Amino acid sequence: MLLVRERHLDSPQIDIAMFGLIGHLTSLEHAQFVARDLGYPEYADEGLDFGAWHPLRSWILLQSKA
Amino acid sequence: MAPPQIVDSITVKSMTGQVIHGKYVESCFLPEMLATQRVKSATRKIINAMAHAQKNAIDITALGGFSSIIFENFNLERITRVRDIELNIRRFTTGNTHTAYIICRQIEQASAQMGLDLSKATIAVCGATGDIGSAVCRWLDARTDVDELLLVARNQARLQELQAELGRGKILDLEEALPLADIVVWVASMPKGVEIDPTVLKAPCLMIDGGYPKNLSTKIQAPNVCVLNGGIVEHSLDIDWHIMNIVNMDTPSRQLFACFAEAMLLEFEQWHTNFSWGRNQITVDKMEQIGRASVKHGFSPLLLPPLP
Repeated sequence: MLLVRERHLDSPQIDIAMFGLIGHLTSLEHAQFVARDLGYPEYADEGLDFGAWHPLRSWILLQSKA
Repeated sequence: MAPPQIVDSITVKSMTGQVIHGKYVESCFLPEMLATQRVKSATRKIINAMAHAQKNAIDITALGGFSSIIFENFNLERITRVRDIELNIRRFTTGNTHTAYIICRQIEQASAQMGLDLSKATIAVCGATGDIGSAVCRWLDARTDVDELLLVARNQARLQELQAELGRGKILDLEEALPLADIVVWVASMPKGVEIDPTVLKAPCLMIDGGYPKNLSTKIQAPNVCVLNGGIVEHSLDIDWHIMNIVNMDTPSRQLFACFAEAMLLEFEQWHTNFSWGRNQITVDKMEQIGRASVKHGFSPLLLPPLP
């Protein structure tokens, strides 16, 4: 939610209609690769309750601000 | 259990100049959950992601990858409330109508690229009784002059229903169908993937990998067998997003899943409704309707690369 609020601060269209996409990573191996690739090796050894979305979210936030 | 999160904001500019905005919700689901019998947990993750999308005022949301497949065998109407959210099913689409339309256009156009004449061709649809597979069969029957349809799936009762509906099609096992097919349309989705012996395939053979995960191109490398990722659209639209860089797309800036594109099309056209939902509800008319919108806004089916 924090991220959403931050992004909305940059977005004047908060009240407009929106579409959404619900997705997921393709496999645990892919998730572990993403974590390593994004520079978060501490997440790369996790199991099915994987935490890769934390580095994923951080990475996307960085990309969007770059 | 890791909760769903909005991880990206998306802006899309159509070929018409229209601009829309969207959000990418990571469900924190992993396909291995299905293989390890954690279906309940997997389903809960998708439902939580849907509730999260609705809570964030998203008007129409596509369920990508396995998110929609879970619901083919699950009556979502049993769950209407997630904590303080009353799920409004009309805000969600599986995106399967657009996926099926794109796969059919890929069959028509990629077969022409390979010099295959559909009027003399045999097409095996593997996963024929699924939501996408049955729609592909309906289109091939109604909109093409394909010579023969082979129907492959596990459930015999559903196969017979489909055969009766179409009034045609041979029901065969996978092992029987593969050696006979000029074109194989793979629309079955299995967490563990599938093993196919490429030596049994015809040459030439066009194989359209519309299942999930898409891994046939790495498993099948044989001369005169062309594997094309199915249900993928190409576009030259301006799409400002970052998530596609890490979701295994060959050209992330120019390709995306047709099911995701369906949510964009519904937003462009202001069709805020569950355009694709349930199982075996996809008609040829609805495929044509979403197909017209797809062309209008600048999406086209991914095709084979030009010969060197």
